[in-house]
Formats: sequence, C-alpha cells, structure tokens
Amino acid sequence: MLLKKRFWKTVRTLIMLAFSSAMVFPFLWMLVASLTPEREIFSFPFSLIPDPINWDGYKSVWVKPVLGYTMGLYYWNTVKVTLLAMFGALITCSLAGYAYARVSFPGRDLVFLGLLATMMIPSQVVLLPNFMIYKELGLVNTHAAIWLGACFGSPFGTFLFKQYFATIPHELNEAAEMDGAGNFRIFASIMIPLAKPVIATLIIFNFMGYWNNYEGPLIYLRSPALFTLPLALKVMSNDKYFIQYAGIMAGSVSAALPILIVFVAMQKYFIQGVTIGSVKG
Amino acid sequence: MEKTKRLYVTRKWRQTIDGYLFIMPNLVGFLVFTLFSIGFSFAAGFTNWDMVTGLANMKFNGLANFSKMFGDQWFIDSMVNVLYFVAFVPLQILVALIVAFIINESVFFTKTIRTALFLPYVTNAVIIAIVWAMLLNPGDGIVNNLLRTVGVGHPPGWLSSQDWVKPAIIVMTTWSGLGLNVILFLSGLVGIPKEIYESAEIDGVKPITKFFHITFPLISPTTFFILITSIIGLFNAWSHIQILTGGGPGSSSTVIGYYIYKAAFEFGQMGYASAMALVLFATVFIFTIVQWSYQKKWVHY
Repeated sequence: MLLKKRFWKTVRTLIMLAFSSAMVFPFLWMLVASLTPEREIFSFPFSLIPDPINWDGYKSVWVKPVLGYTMGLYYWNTVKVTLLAMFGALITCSLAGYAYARVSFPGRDLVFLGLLATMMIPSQVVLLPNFMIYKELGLVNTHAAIWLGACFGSPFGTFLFKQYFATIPHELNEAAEMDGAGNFRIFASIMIPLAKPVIATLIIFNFMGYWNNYEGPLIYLRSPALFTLPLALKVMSNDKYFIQYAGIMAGSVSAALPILIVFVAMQKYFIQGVTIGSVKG
Repeated sequence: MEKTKRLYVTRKWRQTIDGYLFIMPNLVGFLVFTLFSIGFSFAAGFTNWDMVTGLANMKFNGLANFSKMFGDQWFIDSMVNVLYFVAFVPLQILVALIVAFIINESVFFTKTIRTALFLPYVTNAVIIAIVWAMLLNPGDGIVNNLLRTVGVGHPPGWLSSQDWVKPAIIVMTTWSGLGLNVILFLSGLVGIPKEIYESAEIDGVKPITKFFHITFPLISPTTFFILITSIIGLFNAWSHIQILTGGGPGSSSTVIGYYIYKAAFEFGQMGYASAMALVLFATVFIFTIVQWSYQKKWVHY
C-alpha cells in the first residue's frame, strides 16, 4: 500500500517537474541568451550552455550608455521610487489600519466601507483626472508622481493592517491606556512591533508592485534620466535598429534578479498575503 | 459623577480626533484621488476635453462622445476582443485547478515547484513581453523553429498575424497568471477535509470522479473569486498589450483598457476617453452583479 502511494507520488512529481520546467523555460532561455554572442542568439538548435560565455550583452547595458544613461542609473531610479513608495504606504496604511481597528470615531465604518468599494473601480476612470491633478501640481515628469500616490495608502494595505490589528487582544490596549498612554504611544510601542508579519507581507507586495510598475512611469515620465527599469527596457527594445538582443536580455536578467531574490526569500509572506486577500473576498 | 462624565466626554473627543488624524493621509488620498477623480471623470465624459486645448476650453457636448463611441470601429473591436479573452478565462482557471489538484495530492519538491510556477507572476510585464516576443519571432524564434522541425511548413506569424495574436496572448497570460491561481486553489483545497476523500476512496471512487463530484463543488467559492477577479482584471488591463503589440496588427489585439489609454494619451481626446471609461465602469459593474446573482446556482458554501 505504501509502495503504491510512493509510486503515484513520484508520477505526480514527474508530471509537475516537467510542467514546471516548461514554465521556467523562457527564463532559462533569457539567461542563456544574455550570455550568448549576438549572432548566435537565434541559432537553432540552441545549446543550453553558451560556448564561450560572452559578457558583451551585460557590458552593452551596464558600461555603455543606453538612451544616454547606463543601467546603473535606471537601477537607482527604480530603487529610489520603490523604497519611497514602500515606506510611504507602510506608514499610512498602518496608521489607518490601527485607527479602523481600535479607535472608535464617528463615521469609521462608513469610511472604511467606502475605501474598500474603491477597489472595484477600474483604474482608467481615475487615471485621467489624476493625471490632470499631477499636471496642475507641476509633478509630471518627476518621480514624485509615481511614489506620492503610495503615500496616501492603498485599500489593500489598510485592509490587511485592520484585519491584523483587530485580532490583537483588547487587554493590551486597556493595560496601556491604564498607564496613561495615548493612541499614538500605543500604536508606536505596542502595535507596530507586533505587526511584523503584515509588514513583511506588505513589503513584498509593494516592492513587487513598484519595482515592476510600468503604467506609472509610462504616463508620467518624459526624460530618460528619470526612467525606471521597466520603462527603460521597453524603450530599449523598441529601438530595433540599434539594439542588441543580447543587451536587452542582459538588461532583463539584471532587472528581474532583485525581485526574484526578494520573492524567493519572502515567499511565505507573499503567499500568506495573497490567501488572506482571497479568503475574505 | 460629574467628573466621570467629563472624563468620558473628553475621551470620546480624544478618540475622534485621534481617529481622524490617523486616517488623514488615507482619507485625503481617497477624497482627492478617488472620489474627486471619479466625479471629474464622470463630468468629463460629457465634454470635449482635449489635452491640447486644455481645461480652459472644456465645453459640454452632451452625448456626442457616446454616440461617437458606438460608431467607432476601434471601440467596438476593443470590446469584442475583451470578450474573446474573457471566454478563455474558464479554461485558464481549469488548468490552474488541475495543477493545484495534482500538487495537493502530494508531490516531492513542493516548494521548488511552487516557486517555479510563481516566477512568471512576479516578473515584470516588460520582461515577459520582450522574452516572449523573441521566442515567438516568426522567422527566428524558437517556437517556430521547433514547429518547423516537426514538420509544420508554415508556422503562424504569432504577434504579427491578425489571426494568431490573440491566441498567443492567451498562452502568455495563462503562463503568467498560473502561479497565482494555483496558490489560491491550493489554499482552498487545503480546506477540504480529508475525511470526505477517504470515505470516497473506501467506496472505490475513481480519481476522476473524485475530482468532479467532490473537489469541484467544494472549491467553488475559490473558483468564483478567481473568476470574478480575472474577468475584472481583463477589463482593466492594458499595459501588457501596449508593450507587446501596441494593439495590433490593426486593432486585432486592442482591448478597451488600452484603447482608453491610447485615446487619452496618444490622441489627446481626454473627454472621449473619459466617456469610454464610464462605459467600461458600467460594463464591469453589470458583469459583477450578474456573476454575483448567478453564483447562487453553482457555488456551494
């Protein structure tokens, strides 16, 4: 009986491994292509290990300027925007989440419901007016246009924090209040340290969202000096006459690496966050 | 007595002030970037707002935008294309469910497999589009080279072909969305008690029957959630189209989300785009309501 179970388990594993390899194949090819000399990229049949390993692709984007700037700058831009957005969102969402969970003030539940309702609105409806607002504020073609929105919090983040804080026992609140602590003290010294899992989940979600964000930069950025990685890659790949495929592949691998590393390291929190969102939904 | 009452009133005041203070950034964002924008968008749909002439020259033009819309072939094509993609969503969900089912039955290397499945989801849309465009290159791409080796004389033009661009996009979106759906299904499957399966096995039920009569009904809440979010997502998504095909060839891969972007930022027709956004909103709303009421028929809790 046990042998039969192991047999089927192995069969399923093999099926899944085959399927997973097919899923991962485009990435493997991307990695291989980034290390292949230009003229051999489209050769068929292709070999899995390029011979010789050629770093020209990487040199052409990291050392030589593309669109006037090297990958280093695009990397820096992306890091900057992502970190600013992440911290802004964390602060706002945690403050709001705490208030919705633990502070009773008139209109609380109505406002929260309204906030959740916005998750259903298609982004196009607010896209144009938001653009006008940023334009009037003179923020078009700045990084602020991308990360400022995050500082106003997101319904998802606020929701996560509220759910989490609501599960913290009331006694902690009451004990602190007894000692004369105001809401902010309670928030900063008790709630935040306890909220590590939610913070981790939001960090990975926001990191992924802003690192990969393409719509924001596409709509708001005009000067190449400000481009983030996704936009830079896209513009690079459009330039069909000057472009080196190896270079594009190298750029792609470089851009994808940080998010892949972060994801693998924090997989647990990402999956938790995704399932919390769906179970309640 | 007096003192306690005063203390209570002060506390209530305190809570209110604190509460609003804490949600201030959140609230301001909501009021300005959401409520105000929705209202503005709603009004703008009835004007001739144009990027070039600017806000100063905005004038109401009644239902002109809407009548233009229904005569605009591009608009009609975008809506039809979205419906085409929507039609394939059940298939994409089914694939994810089968994969989740297999994994749930237990496999070795679970973590590795899960990571592999999820990789496409966490990667940038631009990178995905670039790699796939190269793989699907009609002349030199690996896919067509493989097809030629197995004897297909004239492999499809994929992204350059009006007939094959949509199927190519469907394969791509299935590939990138699979990880998420599998994870969602897995967490749902975990909630199904083992006893149900065990008693079925004792009764000698085959795995396939197990799947259709036990798993499928019990997982229906998750299925429903994925169905709704996928369809809503399809209506909203536009950047992957912009990156991959620019809506072409012709209008064969334009989706409504992308057309709105194009009309607003490439043609500058902000009023028209706002009107279309309203139609989009209404469509999504109706779709959601219909699905919610339909769910009573097949979703078991």
